[in-house]
Amino acid sequence: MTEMVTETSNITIQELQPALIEHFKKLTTMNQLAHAYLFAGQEGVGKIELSQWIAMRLFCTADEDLKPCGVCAECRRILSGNHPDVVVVKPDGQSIKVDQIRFLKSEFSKSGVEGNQKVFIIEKAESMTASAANSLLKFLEEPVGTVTAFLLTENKNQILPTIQSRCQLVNFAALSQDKLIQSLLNKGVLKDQANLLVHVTESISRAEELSQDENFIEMTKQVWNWFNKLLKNDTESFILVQTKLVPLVKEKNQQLLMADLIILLARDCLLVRYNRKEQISFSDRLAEIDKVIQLISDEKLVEILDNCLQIKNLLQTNIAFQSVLESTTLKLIDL
Amino acid sequence: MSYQALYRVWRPQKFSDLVGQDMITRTLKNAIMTHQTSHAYIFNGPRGTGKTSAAKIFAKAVNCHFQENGEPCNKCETCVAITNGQLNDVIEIDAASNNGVEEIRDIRDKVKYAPTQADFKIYIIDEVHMLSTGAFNALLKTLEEPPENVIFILATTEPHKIPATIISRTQKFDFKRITPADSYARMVYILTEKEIEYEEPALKVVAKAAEGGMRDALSILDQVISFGDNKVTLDNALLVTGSVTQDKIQTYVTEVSQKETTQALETIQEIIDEGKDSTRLIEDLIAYGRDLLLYQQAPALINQLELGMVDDTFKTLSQTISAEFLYQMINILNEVQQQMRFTTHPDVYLEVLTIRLSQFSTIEVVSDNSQSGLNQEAAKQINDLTKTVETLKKQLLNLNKHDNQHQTVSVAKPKKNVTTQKKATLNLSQIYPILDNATKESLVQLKQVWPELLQQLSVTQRAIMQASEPVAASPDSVLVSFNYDFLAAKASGDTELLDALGNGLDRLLHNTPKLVCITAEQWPEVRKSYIEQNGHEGNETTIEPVPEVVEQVVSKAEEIFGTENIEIKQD
Repeated sequence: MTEMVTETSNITIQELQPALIEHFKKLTTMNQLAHAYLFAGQEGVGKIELSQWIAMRLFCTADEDLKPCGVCAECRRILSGNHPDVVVVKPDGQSIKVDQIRFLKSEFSKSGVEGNQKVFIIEKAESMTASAANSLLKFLEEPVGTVTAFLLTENKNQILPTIQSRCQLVNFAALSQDKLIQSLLNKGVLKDQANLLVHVTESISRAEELSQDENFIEMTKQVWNWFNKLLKNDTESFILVQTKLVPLVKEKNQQLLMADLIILLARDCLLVRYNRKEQISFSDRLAEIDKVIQLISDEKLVEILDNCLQIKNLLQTNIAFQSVLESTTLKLIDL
Repeated sequence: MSYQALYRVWRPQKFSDLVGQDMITRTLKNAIMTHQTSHAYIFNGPRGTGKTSAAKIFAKAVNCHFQENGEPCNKCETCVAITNGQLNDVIEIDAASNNGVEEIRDIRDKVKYAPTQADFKIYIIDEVHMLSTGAFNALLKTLEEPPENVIFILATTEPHKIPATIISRTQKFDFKRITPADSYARMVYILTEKEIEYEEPALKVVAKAAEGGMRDALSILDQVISFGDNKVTLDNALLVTGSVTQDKIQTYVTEVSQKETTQALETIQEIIDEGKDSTRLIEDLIAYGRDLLLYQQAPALINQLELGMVDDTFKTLSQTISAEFLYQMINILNEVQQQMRFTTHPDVYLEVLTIRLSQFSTIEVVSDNSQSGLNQEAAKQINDLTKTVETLKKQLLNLNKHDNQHQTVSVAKPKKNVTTQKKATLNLSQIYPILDNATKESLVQLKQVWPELLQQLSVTQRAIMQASEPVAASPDSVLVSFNYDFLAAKASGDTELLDALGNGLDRLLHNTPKLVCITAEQWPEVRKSYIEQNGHEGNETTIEPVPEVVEQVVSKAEEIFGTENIEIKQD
């Protein structure tokens, strides 16, 4: 079982980021690994996998062919998250608290349990609280002993500039969408749906999951319904928020997903207007979008997209989902 | 020994190594040479400008017995010990992790012991902005009058978080951002020392991307070196920084300035597909716009500042693009930059940006309109003001005249009376024609739209009209009754209000009847006298029955049938 998992993750990360793997292969061989890296890239582009890969490179006993074997005890412990010298910090709830960083620091002021090398991985580093981030500063600048730190983030602009300047920034390129679509098609997902999914997420497994999710399919339908009404200045759209849209979302991440769908729709309208039809995400709605936007001016379309982009910001400030959607609806009808 | 980052290996060990902070290093050196060092310093400035380094160098220079011109020798025992962080008398504290009162108490307790090895005991408190309020206050007394031979150096990136009472007890040094030219020179120095080949444009890209932080520059440089087999190439520099080549930026700016939206969108898509950093792109675009603006004004300045990045396309662009476009472009870019900080959809923002920029012509028109609108409004206001001034002048003249003849008081009073009387008296000649032509339909119609009409007024206007109702209406005029006479007077004198009402009625009824105001007290009298005068009842139905009459009828009915059994209907 473990072998299987290792096998697939090894293959994916090498497929996902061949250039970065090459790069870090060289660095680890020449022993030129810096002490702190900031991995920035969208969800599902292989940040965790790459940091694990490097950790395995550092610890693997049977290092063949310049890549970790993935089967020795060390590799397996890293992959299962049990290695004492590889510490992973994840947000505790919404954010990474200062206590977690204190623990991390005390952990690393001790020498390695089994060797000299230590690795720490901070997932979602942008969610560190201000004091957590600040207390990491001195430590990041001059760590004690042989430590390699990986900070993973989806939005590097939310990372303290003082932290950024202490790390080497590695930008993870987004996966090419054609590749993603192709692999989704291979897995039996319909073309139009695959097209939409690659805009929503960049992780294949998540896309596959969503393609099976009935809630998601219903969501795309209802969001389109609502948006269509909205574009026609139909006040019924206000009622749709309460009756159709809100019942579909229960958790925060579903809300964000719906916000994404709305943004994508608004974006599609603009793309259709500017004749870039091959890029749109709701490809099955192309004809309808084309028809509906005939009557809408360019400025209004830009305004609509602007307002839709606001939805996500508002959600992040913890405003109730229904209120956000309703106020957006009213604003857009008013335009 | 594992690999050490460039910025750790090349941490400045002498004041002369500190880049771009000449003023500060000179002041500090002079202070050390003349033995006029203060007991407390604050070093503040953006990341990577040398605050902590300066603090360490200062600690060495103060304690070094072989210092020359204020520079530490870096060879003697003390210097080496401080560099290695082994000297017990130089204490470096991370205030971000030790931010409580307890830690500061600890400092306070230990500060009174004399230094053991060196001459001075030096506390370097880094990231001092993270101290709690309690901790800051606990530090105050110690900071004001520390024992002899103790020096505090506080380093921070956020000086605004430090209480004024702390700042006033210290000497404050502001570290500046390091200019691209300075960090370029430093990188050239390090690379020559390390014997690594480099391409000049690559270093320029790195220097620009570092945004004034030397540590950022070296971090990036480190990465570029590791990408390219100990060689610094432009391609790798662009790859690592996520910057876009100047050619691409020029293409993009040309396209948006010529309103080729579709092509510009294509360029943006290409840039995103290459995995470029969108925030960096926005910054580059802002910088480019700024450079164009500057070049239009002072070409020589750009040649100096931008390390010679001026080429032919740049020159033609600077001639073809108007300054207004650039202003507008930079404004829009700034706005988008703000919005992009909290998003995971940078590509969508970039597309919106592109469309906005390339639609600039429409924006321009809009802004022009609003401006002329403003002007009109201003002109109107000025007109009004001049009118008011004129009337005031006249009044003053009158006043003076009267003053010459009579006493002011005796004149002013009757005058006032006259005006109030005038307002209270009814202009019957206005009212009777309305009553002559009044019809039931007009009144009903008007009453239907009345609430909506009130909604369209501004708040103050609505307040006046709240206590009013239309009592009679003919197709071309309306009689409005007010509960209070001062409101009636106010309403009939307020042209703005009458205009607003007229406009509202025009929208709702598609005609603009003339409004005549009357008070509720006057209305029954007027109505009575009108009926008496005309002596016919043809129009009687159109006029609202006087409330008193109705009440009489109703109370009679109630007497006869009981309150529950009657229903009052107005026909």
